[in-house]
Amino acid sequence: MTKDTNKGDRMNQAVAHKKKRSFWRLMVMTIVLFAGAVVVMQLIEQAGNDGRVEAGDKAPNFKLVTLDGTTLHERANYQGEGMLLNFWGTFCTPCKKEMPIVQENYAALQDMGVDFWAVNVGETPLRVDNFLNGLGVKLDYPILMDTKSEVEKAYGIYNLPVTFVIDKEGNIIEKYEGELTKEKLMELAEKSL
Amino acid sequence: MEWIDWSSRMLFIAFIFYAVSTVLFTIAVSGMRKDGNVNRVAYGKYAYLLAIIGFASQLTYFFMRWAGVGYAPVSNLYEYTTFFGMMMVVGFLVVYGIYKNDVLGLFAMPVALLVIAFASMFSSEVAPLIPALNSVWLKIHVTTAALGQGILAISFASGLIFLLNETSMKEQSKSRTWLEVTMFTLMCVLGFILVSMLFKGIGSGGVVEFTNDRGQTESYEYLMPILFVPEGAQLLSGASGLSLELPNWINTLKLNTLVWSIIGGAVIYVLLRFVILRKRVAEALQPLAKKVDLDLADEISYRSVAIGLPVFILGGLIFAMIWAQIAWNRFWGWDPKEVWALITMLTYVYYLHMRIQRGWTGTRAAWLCVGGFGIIMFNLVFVNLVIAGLHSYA
Amino acid sequence: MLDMKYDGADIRSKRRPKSWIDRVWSFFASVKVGLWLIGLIIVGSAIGTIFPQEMYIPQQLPPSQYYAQEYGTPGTIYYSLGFHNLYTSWWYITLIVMLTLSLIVASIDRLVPLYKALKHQPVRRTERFMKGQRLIGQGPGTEAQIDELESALKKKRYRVTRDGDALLAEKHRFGRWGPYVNHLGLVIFFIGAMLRVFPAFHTDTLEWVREGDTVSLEATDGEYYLRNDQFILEMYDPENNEEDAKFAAAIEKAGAVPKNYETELTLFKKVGTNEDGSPQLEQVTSGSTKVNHPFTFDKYEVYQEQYSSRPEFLAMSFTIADQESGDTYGPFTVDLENPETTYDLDGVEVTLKDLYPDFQVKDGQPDTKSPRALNPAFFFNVTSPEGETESNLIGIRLNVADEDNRYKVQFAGTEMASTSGLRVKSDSTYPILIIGGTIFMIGIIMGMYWPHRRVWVRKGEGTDVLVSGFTNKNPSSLRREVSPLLEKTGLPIWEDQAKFESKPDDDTQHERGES
Repeated sequence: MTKDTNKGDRMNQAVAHKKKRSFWRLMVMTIVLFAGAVVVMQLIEQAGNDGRVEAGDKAPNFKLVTLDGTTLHERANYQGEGMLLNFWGTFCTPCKKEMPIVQENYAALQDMGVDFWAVNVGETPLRVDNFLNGLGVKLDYPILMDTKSEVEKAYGIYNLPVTFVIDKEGNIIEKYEGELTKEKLMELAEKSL
Repeated sequence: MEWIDWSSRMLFIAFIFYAVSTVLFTIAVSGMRKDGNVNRVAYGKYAYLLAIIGFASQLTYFFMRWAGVGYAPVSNLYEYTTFFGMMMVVGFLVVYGIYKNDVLGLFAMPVALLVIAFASMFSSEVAPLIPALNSVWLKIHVTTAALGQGILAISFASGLIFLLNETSMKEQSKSRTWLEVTMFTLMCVLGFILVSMLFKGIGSGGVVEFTNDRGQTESYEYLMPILFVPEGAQLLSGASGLSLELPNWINTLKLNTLVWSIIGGAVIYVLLRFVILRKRVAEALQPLAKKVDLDLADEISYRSVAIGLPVFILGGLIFAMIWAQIAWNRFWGWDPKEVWALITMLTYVYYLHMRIQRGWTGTRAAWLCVGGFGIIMFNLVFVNLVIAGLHSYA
Repeated sequence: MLDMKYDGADIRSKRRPKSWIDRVWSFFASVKVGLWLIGLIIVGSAIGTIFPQEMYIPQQLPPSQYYAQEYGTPGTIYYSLGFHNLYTSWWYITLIVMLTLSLIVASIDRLVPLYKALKHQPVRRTERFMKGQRLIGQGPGTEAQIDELESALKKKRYRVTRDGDALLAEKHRFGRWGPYVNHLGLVIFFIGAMLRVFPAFHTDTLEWVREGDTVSLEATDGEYYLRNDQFILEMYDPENNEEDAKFAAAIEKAGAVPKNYETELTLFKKVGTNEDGSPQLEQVTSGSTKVNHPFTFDKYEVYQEQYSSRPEFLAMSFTIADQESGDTYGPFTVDLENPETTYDLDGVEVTLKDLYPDFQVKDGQPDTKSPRALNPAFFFNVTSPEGETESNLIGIRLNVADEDNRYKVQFAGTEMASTSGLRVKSDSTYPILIIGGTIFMIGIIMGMYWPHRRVWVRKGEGTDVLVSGFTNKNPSSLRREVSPLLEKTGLPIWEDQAKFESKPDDDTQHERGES
């Protein structure tokens, strides 16, 4: 009898041992593979994300004054529906070309509840003032002076002109690099709503 | 300038000693005197002694040049390759010290000679050290890595001995074919050296100008007769030769040199095989390799890897990472040179696991040693000259 | 011959697998699989060096165009297969992860039985066991000779244990743990490397700081500020510096060579905020960063990484010469970043009408190429006390004014500033990487330079004595070490059971199992 019991005990012990071993084996493999999967996912997510603001990001906040130095515009305090946030410079030819087009359609944009903010990248008010005087068209939309290039840096601007389409909640819907035509402008405005 | 002139002389003297040492090893192994009374042991001893004297001369070169340039002379291809040749000699001296085998000298010394001769094809001009290289880690990282590679190179020499000994030359086999390919590759290195010297002597290059992909005007200065030029190239000076036009993304200057080296190698090979030896080069070497017992050849190549790999890992990967962190602010950046150092390590790791865990000894192990050396040379020559990266100095 | 890999002990994964867990486990425990993974990693890594990776190509062109333009059709294929970012591709990382798993599983699978087998090894082994070793000898011998061998082996630093007439001598057992130690080091290193993927473990930003400017360091979350006091670019100067004279020939050929890039800097800590919203700063320390000598503070490192090749103008000074009277007015200084528009110089009034920071003429009009003050030009109106106004356009090597102008604008001085590109980094995985790397190296040295060697001796049938030896690395070395001792004591000399046979005309491939 005792012999049989011993045998049974040993069998049970062996089975228990094996179960325990299987458990640990599974744990080790699962942990490593899971960690690996997390790393791969993280890499895929980071791919192409180089710190520049892209579609899908939240628009970084900023406070800038207009060219005449009278009004302070803060991104987070914007009350309208959608917004087109444009970056430009006097040295950029397509920027110069698109400005009269924006001006022509600015009233229509405002009717839609979409504002157009044009941020100048790091130039002096003197230069910008001269440039706008030479444009031949008076612009009604706000020209914001980023004299220290801080906003430019925050948005990671490389090419000009660039226009960010921002919705009411402050999310970036699209980043459009290139000159605006009337059609493109209206299309982007639609998207911001 | 004094120091540098003297250092060059010392290097030349070292080269002569190595060459004489090789000849003595050959006599020791083959017993070239017809009366059969060659005292092999004594010849081997003298050969070893000459190798040591050669090494001492080269060491003198190294420190003299150091005194002359003001930094450890391992900063460009000329200096590094020379140093690598010296480390091969060190590897040989150590392994010979253990095994006292003359056949190893017969195979290891010519390879070291070839490496040093190859080094002298690069510009030996004294160049200022750029800030990124100006660090104590230059000496620590480069010398350790070169020492590791030098010892690993001995496993190539000994693996080659094994293969020459073991491969049947009477029947067609993969080993026989690849051995001949290995011989031909070595001939091409020799071909490069001889062709460079020849054309330098007669000055038959030329200069062409062309517009590159980025629209800039670039010029290539050919030192060898021109075979290939980029599309739309204009000859500014020299003879035009064949001047085959190739797409712009191919560097025709390098291709030109490569093709000339192969031509040179082929000429030497054909002369050896069909005029002088009248048999396969490997077949001609076989009787010499037969003087070593297979077990010993196999063991020497294993021991060289066992000793050399840790040194290489320390110098070529660990010290390299520490320096890369300090100089380039990242310890690993997937630069081609780094990647090929990793591949070198992985190849020998593969060799060790195959050998110890899966019983790969003999032929297959010897081929892995030959391949490992091929990768080391690839990293030295090809990655520096062809694949552009952070390490392409010179 | 006996399979001695784990000292004849049962390898866990070699038992017949029962469940799927065991099957997966034994897959990863297999050396064959590990070696396949190494082979694939070798091939994959090599492919990544055919053309430069995306991070090394110039930024002017998008990669999609760059590879096609620079390398033709092969470049296009390379790009479309994603090889331009090979080392962070999902399949490459997957290979590394699988290799890591293989390292862990194979090590656990072998270490446990090996440890047990070596811990409890009998001194007296069976004849079958001894004859299964690579080195084996058999012949007449006495117990006295075995005693003699014992003391000889002890002199060779063997640890000898006896069991009557049986003898076990052992050396460097700890070398046997080398592979496991280095695998452990590698796994730790991989853990460190993988943690680096997550932004929380390291910060890394490039800060462009102009001389004189103070910037908030993004990497420190605005806790620290850095001021660029001076950027130093030193070139080798063979003409004036005796030490550099030897480089004259090389410099003549290759052009000027930089000797040193260095930024002298001052570190500030933000201690509060002023009423106007600006940060209240307290100086912490000052120092410099140059290539190969990063500046460190707190847990951060500042590397001299880049500099702008052209310094920018901060301010320019001018004087006005009255060509009628010979009087000079001024100087006055125009701050290029924040220019005043009028300057009153003893009755002569200068008005800055326009300022082109990077002057060019476009379509016949003065214009600027960029917002950076690289080549400034100024449009001044000079009004005399009598109220007459003259125009001047003045820049570097440029002075457009009317021939018979009364006032002449002249340069009186410039203030310039270079810009340093400083890399600010912190990385909390360094300790893990250093520990992992060190353990790895220790393991390799342990494993490669300390071969485990064992010698067994026992009496066999009749007067026969059996002598056998085992080593995990190189049997010939063991043979060379112990054979002379056997010879001296007169015990049977052992032979290697697995020698290559050299047959001149035999083309069979020589392979032997190293057990």
